[in-house]
Amino acid sequence: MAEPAGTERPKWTSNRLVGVVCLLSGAAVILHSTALSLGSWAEPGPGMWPLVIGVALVVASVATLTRRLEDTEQERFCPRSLLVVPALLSLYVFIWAFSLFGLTLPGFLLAFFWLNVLGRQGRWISVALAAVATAVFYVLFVPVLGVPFPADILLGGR
Amino acid sequence: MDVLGSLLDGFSVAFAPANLLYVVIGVSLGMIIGVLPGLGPAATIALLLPITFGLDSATAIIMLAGIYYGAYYGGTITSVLLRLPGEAASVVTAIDGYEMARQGRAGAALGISAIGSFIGGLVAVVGMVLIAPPLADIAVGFGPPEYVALAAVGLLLVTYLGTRSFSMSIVSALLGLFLALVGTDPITGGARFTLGIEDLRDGLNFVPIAMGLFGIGEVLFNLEGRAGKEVDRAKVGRILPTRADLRTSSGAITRGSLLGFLIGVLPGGGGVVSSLTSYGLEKRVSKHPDTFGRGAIQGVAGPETANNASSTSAFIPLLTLGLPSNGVLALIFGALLLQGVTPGPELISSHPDIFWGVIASMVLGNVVLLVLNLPLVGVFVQLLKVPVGVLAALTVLITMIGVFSVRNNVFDMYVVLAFGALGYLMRKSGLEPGPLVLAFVLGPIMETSFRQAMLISNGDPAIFVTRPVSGTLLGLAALALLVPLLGKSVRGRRKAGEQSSSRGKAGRP
Repeated sequence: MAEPAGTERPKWTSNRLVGVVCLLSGAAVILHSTALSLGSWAEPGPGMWPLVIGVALVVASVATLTRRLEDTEQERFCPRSLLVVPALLSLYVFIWAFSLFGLTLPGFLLAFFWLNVLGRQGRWISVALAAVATAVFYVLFVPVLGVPFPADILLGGR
Repeated sequence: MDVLGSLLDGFSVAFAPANLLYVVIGVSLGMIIGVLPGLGPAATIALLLPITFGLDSATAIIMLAGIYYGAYYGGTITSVLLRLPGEAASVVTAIDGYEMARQGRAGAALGISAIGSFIGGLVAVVGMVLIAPPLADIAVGFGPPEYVALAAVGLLLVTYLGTRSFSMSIVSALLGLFLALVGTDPITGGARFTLGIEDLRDGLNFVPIAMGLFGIGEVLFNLEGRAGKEVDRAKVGRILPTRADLRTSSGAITRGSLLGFLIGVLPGGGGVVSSLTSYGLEKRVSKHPDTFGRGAIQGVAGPETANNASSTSAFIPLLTLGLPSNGVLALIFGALLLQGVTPGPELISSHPDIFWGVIASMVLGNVVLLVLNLPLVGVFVQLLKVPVGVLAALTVLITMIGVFSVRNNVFDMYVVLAFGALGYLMRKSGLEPGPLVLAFVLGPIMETSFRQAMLISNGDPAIFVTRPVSGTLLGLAALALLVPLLGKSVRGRRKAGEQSSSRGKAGRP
């Protein structure tokens, strides 16, 4: 999948990266689709349509590689871009914790982290907002919508 | 008359207390998120998909439709007052709208766009009532080749008319088609592209992809502190346009309604395209094109009318052919599928409550917007004071909980996370997520129809061009792609530097 890495190089690099990633995924799709049965034109097998898309991806990637992007089309990475890493990590940890401990505690901690650390809000405001948001969402999803969340470490039960 | 009777039934659906409530909720939410830069209608609808899951299907679509056209009203407010387009379609409004605001005529700009939007919406509803049922009757006769052609044309036009580069949009659409392959082969039942992961055997689910790309992706993108700048706030002033304003803009509103309606019906239409086209048209027909960019009221009235008309008529292909014409409608398509309703030519007869109820609710929604819009402008602008960090925290929390609630499945939460990261990288590298989501929805329709068509024709690909409807559609698509290319090269040869630079300004937000 497209995972162009971030760098501070001249503008055309991310364009090229998209092209390369797209070229590689196109090639992978073609490989995998030929491994599936292609069938015939009269009776296309499971691999025929993927092959069409794989070829199209390769063609499009060549088109992308051969042109320059205009200034407005992409954003450079800056120091604050690094915040994405803890942001994604916090979500990963939240999902893991949620499946074990339910919504309340992990939800509160996630909201607090996003408010206080990433969102640069004051500590007490963050605590209050995180608590209120978690409570509102808990009430909305559990009693009102009846969603079976994993057993809750604070409230117990299901 | 049959249509009238059905429409009356539609109003009885729309006036049911629950639906009435959700129209108001939908359009108000739409206005709010239209005002907030960064959180567009696509993200909001994606976030609300899990909640609509528990609603009645007509109610769900009524609310989501309200968010969609409500967002256009909201986007206008910030475009005019702060030159911050809340969503893409109001980018052109920011040109003359903000100029008007600087001249102390913000109220008139907002007033005329509300009135124009209202008229455009109504015209589109009338057009929809007249066109949609006969179109659905024709569409019942469509076979697999027509569906392949329609889906292909829709995708091509979306990528072509996208605000960014053509080749990048195509890449995004192809990624969507690729992701739609993951899972079980629709005909033979074999696993494809699952990488041996058991949870992928049922394929990737639409909801986590949309929520990841639009919801989390957007939040991550905004983490870098792009939004939240202090901006000069213009005074609103007198809101009701003067008689002279109305006279000047009446032509623009009429043209905008018709143009917007027509563009909305096309696959790939709606929103940005219609407002850009209308701006161009108004400038061309104006006797004083030099006033554009300096606070010409037609430059606000036309585009605002057109984008609301097109956002309404864009429902026609969705509800009659089952083909969403842009990213936001792909989300509404997904919401219908979640409800167990497959949009298509039979929808009008099998679910008249949805079709006519949505139409009637649009009339109501536009009235609500007109009434809410003008007196509450000041309140909506205050919304911009909510810190971005607070919005982000609430968004991630509700995204994560919401996606779990659709299928009670933790795996979907990881999918959201992965697509959030992908959405962020796409935004960074200039790939729009819209075509991806649309292609993801259209992919299975295209593949199944393609394979059926090949079976029918016994392997002869000529079936796509020899049947009248699919042949015409593909021919038109080819024309639509070739004409501007030819025009560009002809124009390129003549030296028209001045013209192209002013065009570039209007076209590139």
